[in-house]
Amino acid sequence: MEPTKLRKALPWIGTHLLALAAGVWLFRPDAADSAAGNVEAEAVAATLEEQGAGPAERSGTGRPRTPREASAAGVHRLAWKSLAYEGLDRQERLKASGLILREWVKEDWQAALDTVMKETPDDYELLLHFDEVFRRDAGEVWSLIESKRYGVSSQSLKARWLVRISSLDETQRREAMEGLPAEAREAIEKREKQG
Amino acid sequence: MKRSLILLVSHLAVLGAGAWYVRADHRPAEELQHAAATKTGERSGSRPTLESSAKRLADEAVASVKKELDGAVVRAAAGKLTPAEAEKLARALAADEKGFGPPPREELAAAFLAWFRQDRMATLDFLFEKGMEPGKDAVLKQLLAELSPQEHLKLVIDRPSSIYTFRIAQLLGTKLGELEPAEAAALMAEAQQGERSREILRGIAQGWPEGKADRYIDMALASGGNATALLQSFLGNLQSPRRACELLVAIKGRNDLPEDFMRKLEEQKEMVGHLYRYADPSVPLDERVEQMRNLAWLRDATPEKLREGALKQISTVDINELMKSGPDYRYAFRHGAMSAEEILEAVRKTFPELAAASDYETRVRVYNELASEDAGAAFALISHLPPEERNLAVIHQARWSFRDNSPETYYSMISLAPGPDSSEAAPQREDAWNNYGAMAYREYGDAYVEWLRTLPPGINRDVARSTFAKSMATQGKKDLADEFSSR
Repeated sequence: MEPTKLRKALPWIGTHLLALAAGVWLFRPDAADSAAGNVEAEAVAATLEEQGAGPAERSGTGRPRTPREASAAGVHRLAWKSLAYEGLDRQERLKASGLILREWVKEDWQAALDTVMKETPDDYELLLHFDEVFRRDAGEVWSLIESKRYGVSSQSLKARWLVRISSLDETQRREAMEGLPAEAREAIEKREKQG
Repeated sequence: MKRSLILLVSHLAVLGAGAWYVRADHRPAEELQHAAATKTGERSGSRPTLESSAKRLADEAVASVKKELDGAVVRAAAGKLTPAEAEKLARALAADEKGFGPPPREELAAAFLAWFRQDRMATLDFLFEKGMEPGKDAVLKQLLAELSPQEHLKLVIDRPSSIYTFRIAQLLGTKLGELEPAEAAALMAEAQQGERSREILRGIAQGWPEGKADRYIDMALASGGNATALLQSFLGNLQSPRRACELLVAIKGRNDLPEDFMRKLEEQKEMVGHLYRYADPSVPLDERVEQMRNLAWLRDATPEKLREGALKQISTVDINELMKSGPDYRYAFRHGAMSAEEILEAVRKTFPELAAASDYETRVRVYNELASEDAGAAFALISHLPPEERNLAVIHQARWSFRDNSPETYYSMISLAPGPDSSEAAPQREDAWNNYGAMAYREYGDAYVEWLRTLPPGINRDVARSTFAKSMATQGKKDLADEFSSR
């Protein structure tokens, strides 16, 4: 190319390079994923609300989620759903679901609980991954049960929660029961009498 | 103007090229659009697009549950630990967050193994201290692999009677299945000494390796006068009728079995018919059907009625077993990874003989399994049937669902048969609600009663209420009986 022509073309080469850089920048994976993650998190949240598993009506149950938690819920929820494509047998799938729950419960146990309660009752054995939550956040769990967040299935949650609280040693049980309303304490005492 | 247009297009093309380049190897072609996970049987058409972090999480979970302990690595690592180190390390690793997995950990298994080599009883006491779980079972297998069959049997005898010792006996059975029949028979004779012989024999039979019933027969025959008792022990002690049936299949064509065993089997026709119902699907279908004639209710049936009755039960057993131990089709259906038709096709491929024998039974059984996940989507499998046949299939499914169904799920299943009912359907619907109502009241208590009050008018409301009222009257709960007996 002649020097004069090259000089004339330089600005256009520059603007084309800028366009290339803009393409790389705008569509870089983490940016697209982050956007997708937000959309997914919103979609998940919307789905949960549509299906009656949104924040519960009673106070103390519907702690507003931070954006980070919502996004994390999207990630865990995606991983959860993707197990359906893995061809795992039931026992393997339950174990894999349990591993995802192990992380999810730490990030946002309420979103994780919503997800388990939306599976069929024969998957409720996964509730054992909430043993620590049942003890630590006994009041919040009781509020979810009382608000009938999961319809009739709230009773299944209640049964498992009662088993967990009843299995605690004396000190832990006393701690867990602190601040619980009278109905909850009565339910625990009744469960203990049944043995 | 023309030049500006060209420049605009070329800039956009370059921008697009940049985008293509940077995304090309990030997103595999199969990663497609994502729909928020929903509890539905509607096929979503594609695998959800996974964020890299979600993909990593799912991949790790799958890899963890697929991972098995590498015995050679475990043994090598165990060899490097002193006894004192081993116990300390075993206790520490068992208590940390990763515990017994999944994934299983070679270093943890190695610590237990090194400890076990020094003090078997203390190691096992600690392993069983807080109950068993699959991860502990994997470690236990590593420990017992160290023992000769004789040492293994001694351990079973020396341990106190418990479910854990029973597990050790099962694993002895697995080991005996690999031995020469005479050697295994000698150990079986030893196992039959002492007070706990019945429990130990039961464990050994249950642990006998799958597909090796012929070796069990050889072992029993090698034991001499004890053969009949050992063969009967296999038939009676296996928890799984499918496994027990392996022995019936294996004795076919043999003429070296003790006469008294064969005579006894002649007297156990009901058991034979029952076990063939659960036979492995590799047993020819016609043979299973014919053997089911041993059942009292099919003994005098015409060939057509025998086939009809037997196919109904065989299809139920085989497809239910597949759903329990095969790929988790119900989860795939629930989350939209497979449609009902796709699952039906997979079932047909798994059981080609059954599918060829009765498309109807295959179809209806798959519907049976999927309806509790999403009744509406599963209904596609039977929607083409004539109305009466379809109604009966729906009601039958509701009566014989193998799942714990919430009242909402149950209602959505049985509502697919809207009524009015024929004289054949009416008592079945009543039976369905009668059974479900009793179960649901036990499970959900007052919450079920509240739910029952909210049912919309219709045949299911009427039957659900009337059967519940009768049940409450029987239980002496007059208020509830009165409330629900009125419409």
